Amino acid sequence: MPEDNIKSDIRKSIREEDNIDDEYEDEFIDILDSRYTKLDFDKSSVLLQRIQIRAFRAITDLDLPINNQNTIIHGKNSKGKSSFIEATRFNLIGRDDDNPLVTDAIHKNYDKLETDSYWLKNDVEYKIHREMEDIGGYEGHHEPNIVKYPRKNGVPISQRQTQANVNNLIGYTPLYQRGFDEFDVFSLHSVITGELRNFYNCNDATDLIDVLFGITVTNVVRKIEEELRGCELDEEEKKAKGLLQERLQRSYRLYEEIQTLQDDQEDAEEVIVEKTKQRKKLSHLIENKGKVSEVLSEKINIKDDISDLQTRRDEKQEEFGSIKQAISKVESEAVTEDVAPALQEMKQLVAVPNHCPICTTSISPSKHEQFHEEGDCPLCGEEIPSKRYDTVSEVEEKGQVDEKERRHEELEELEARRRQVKGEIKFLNDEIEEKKQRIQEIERIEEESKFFEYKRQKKTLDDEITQLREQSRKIELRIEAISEKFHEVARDVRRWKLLNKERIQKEQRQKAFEAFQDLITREQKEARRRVQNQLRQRMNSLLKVFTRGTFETATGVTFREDDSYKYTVHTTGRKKSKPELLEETNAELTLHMLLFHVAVLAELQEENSTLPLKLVLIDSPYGNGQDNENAPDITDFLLKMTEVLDEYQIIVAMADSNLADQKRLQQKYDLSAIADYIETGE
Amino acid sequence: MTMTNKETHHKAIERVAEWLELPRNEENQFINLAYDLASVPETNLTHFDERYLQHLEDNVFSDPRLLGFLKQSRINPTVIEQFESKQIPYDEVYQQWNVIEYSINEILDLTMLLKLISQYSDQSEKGLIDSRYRLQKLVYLVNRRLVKQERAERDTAPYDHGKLEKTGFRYTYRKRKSGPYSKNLRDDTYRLSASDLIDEELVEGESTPEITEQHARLEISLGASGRVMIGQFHEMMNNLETGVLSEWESAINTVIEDFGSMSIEELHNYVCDIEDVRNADDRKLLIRGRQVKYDSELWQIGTPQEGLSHA
Repeated sequence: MPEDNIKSDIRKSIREEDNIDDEYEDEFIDILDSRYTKLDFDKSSVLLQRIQIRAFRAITDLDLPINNQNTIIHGKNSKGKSSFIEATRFNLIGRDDDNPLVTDAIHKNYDKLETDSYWLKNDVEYKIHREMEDIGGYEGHHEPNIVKYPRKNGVPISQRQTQANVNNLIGYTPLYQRGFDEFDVFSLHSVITGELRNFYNCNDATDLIDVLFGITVTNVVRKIEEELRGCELDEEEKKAKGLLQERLQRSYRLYEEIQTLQDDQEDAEEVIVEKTKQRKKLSHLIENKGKVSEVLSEKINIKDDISDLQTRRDEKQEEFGSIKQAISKVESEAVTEDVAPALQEMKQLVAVPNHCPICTTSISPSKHEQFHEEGDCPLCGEEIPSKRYDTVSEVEEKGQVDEKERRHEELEELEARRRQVKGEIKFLNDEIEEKKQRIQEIERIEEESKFFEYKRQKKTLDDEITQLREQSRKIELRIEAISEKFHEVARDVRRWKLLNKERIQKEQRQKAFEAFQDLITREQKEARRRVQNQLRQRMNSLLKVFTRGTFETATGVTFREDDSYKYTVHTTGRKKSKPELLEETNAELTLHMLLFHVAVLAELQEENSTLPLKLVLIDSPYGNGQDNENAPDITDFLLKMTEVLDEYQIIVAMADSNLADQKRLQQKYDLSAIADYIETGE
Repeated sequence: MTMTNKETHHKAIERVAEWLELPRNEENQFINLAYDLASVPETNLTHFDERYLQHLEDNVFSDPRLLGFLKQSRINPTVIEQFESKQIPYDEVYQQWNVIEYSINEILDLTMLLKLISQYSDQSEKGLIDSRYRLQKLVYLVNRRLVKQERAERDTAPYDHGKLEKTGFRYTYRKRKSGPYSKNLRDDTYRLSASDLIDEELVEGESTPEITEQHARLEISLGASGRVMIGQFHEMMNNLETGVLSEWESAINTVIEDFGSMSIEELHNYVCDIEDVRNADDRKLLIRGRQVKYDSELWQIGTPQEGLSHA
């Protein structure tokens, strides 16, 4: 089926395929358009003319001209000839840091190794120079130096190019652009002991073979695979879904917790507001204590008043007593009034004693005279105290007549005063009683006002409010803390959401690409069957060369069903030989790889467009030991190769001991003893 | 007080006549002239009343007829001048003498004591009080009776002696071996005796619990002056009108009625069995003397301290 038809079929399929979303269709068609193209190799071959190697492992200085002929290099030991093939690869594509064939590439006596290869392409000579210096690590090997017309141009070595320049020269660029590794591509050109399966087992072997055999769809597949690799989830994306879910749940929990706390805080604040209101009310009541304290001060005032009144009353009572006493006095004066004449008489009778009451003797006239004149006692003769005696005259005291009247008036006056004072005392007592009642009333008011109760309640409220505020503050702090955590989790959630989105996109994209891949791989499988057929026929024909050794009884080759170019050699004893199951040192593996490489290269030689580099390097085809069983077959095969790969330059390196069939090989190969070029001073 | 008679008026004129130291016949002429000039038939004035004396100065001694008589009798012109200028020195003219001064309260005690002695004597068989002992106890019982009587107002602290605070004898009683005894009463008894108001007659061989009566009793009876005085004022002193005195009198009457017929022994038993007396220690105050004084001095109530110290 013509390529264009295939392409338009695929395009149609992309549009119709349900599993490919519209959003991918255009992209896929673009991929199809850009990738569904055959590789365009340089038509002209690139041929090796000469190689110079210095300080590369065992080789100190080698200069080997290649005369457009198949060449066999041989030496005493394996080192030198292997070093030659390794040096050639180094010169072309540098050192594979991931898989260095040689660890100590630089000869122990040198600081630097140098390789120069000379090539002819379209009759133009090129020199590729590549060197490597050990300065605590290998430097410079990735900076080759290409000189066109080296015989004429003395371009300084220091002018360096890149591997891309070499790739252009040797025609690797189209493959490199499709993502193939130079080392993998170069492994097609070499069968080297110790790394025999480098090409057969390499990751891209199948694709590389596809591409080389013009299976253009593989380019698309490779792009799809590349895109699919891009769709592979990294570790975080893989976790995204689960973690997002977990983080979301956590954020919900935190949010709920915040909500609950906010509710709690709101409740607390509400209670605070309520309590504050109550407290304000109480404060108001307590402020009205002015009223209460007025009452209190009134109480004090009244008590003072009572005290004053009592004092006044006491004074009045005293006055009352005085008046009563005065009345008594006036009355008592009246008493004497009653019996005044009798008293008057008595007074006169006792005024002058007549005789001594003890001895009853009469008082003598002289004693009386003494008494009257001197105031001496008529009884004892002592001077009578002045207050005990008086001088009386016949003249009466003035005003005695009015005494009764005066006394009466005085008595009336006193009685009046007494009544007045009594009234005053009664008034004062009434007043005191009244004030006492007022105090009782005040005490009742005091009790009613419940001032102290208010104060106590206010104190309780104050305490409660303080406590609630503290509680609210704590809640707020907790809210803050949880909010912070919440925000942290939210940021996490956002991050995981983005990652999850990417994951989903990748997965969708992957699904789309896989659908695309399904469309393509059908075509690819078909094409591959074709190539497998080609290779199987070629290998079957080549197997006939092996007539005495391991493959003596080989009956044919089959390719696996797994869409790779893995194969099995069947023998008559129903024995199956699979290259991937053989040990690296097994001589049978050398047979396999010679068979496989030659088959591929031979078929490629038939293709319209293929690699311009026509070099085939074979290291130790007989193994490191003498393989007597297979040696004749190998020699037959090496000879057969020159016929089959007639457009190629075949360079075989082998030990001197393997030169048993030298004469036969000489028919087709130039023999070069490597000892001529190698300093063997190890 | 109403005391008017010719004699008293004469007395004032007589004293002036004596003071002029006139010969007897001239003195009589002066008295008769002055009496005629005075011509005050009825007045309420006593012959010692200053208003009467003033009347004599204004209307009698300054009369020209009297002054003429005095000049005729060759009386010292300075004295005649005193008559003319109505400045007769009555203090010189009138008689003056010393007397033992007693306060009105003391006089009242003496008078009431005399009344008690008189009343008791009247109802007794022998017409007297048979001992100083009985007198002491009778007076004690009178006062004690007054102590036990409630007064309307009780305002004397620390002692409330009932009606005794206002009436009764002012004697302070202490406990002695003989029972309640008052030195004040003894002194007053002496005073009455000294002025012949009572007589004390010793009765040998009989005794009372009284210390002074261990070997002889002293019978107390009214003396000569006492009998005169009781006789003169009998009616007045048995009808006391004033409240306080009538209560005093009534206490005296009741005590005489209740205890008048008791023998000394019965009286002794009775008095010694009175609770206050029985419980009191020797010399312990039983009744404080009345504080109320019926005199012209400022009436005062003693403070508790004063009351005690006084006692």
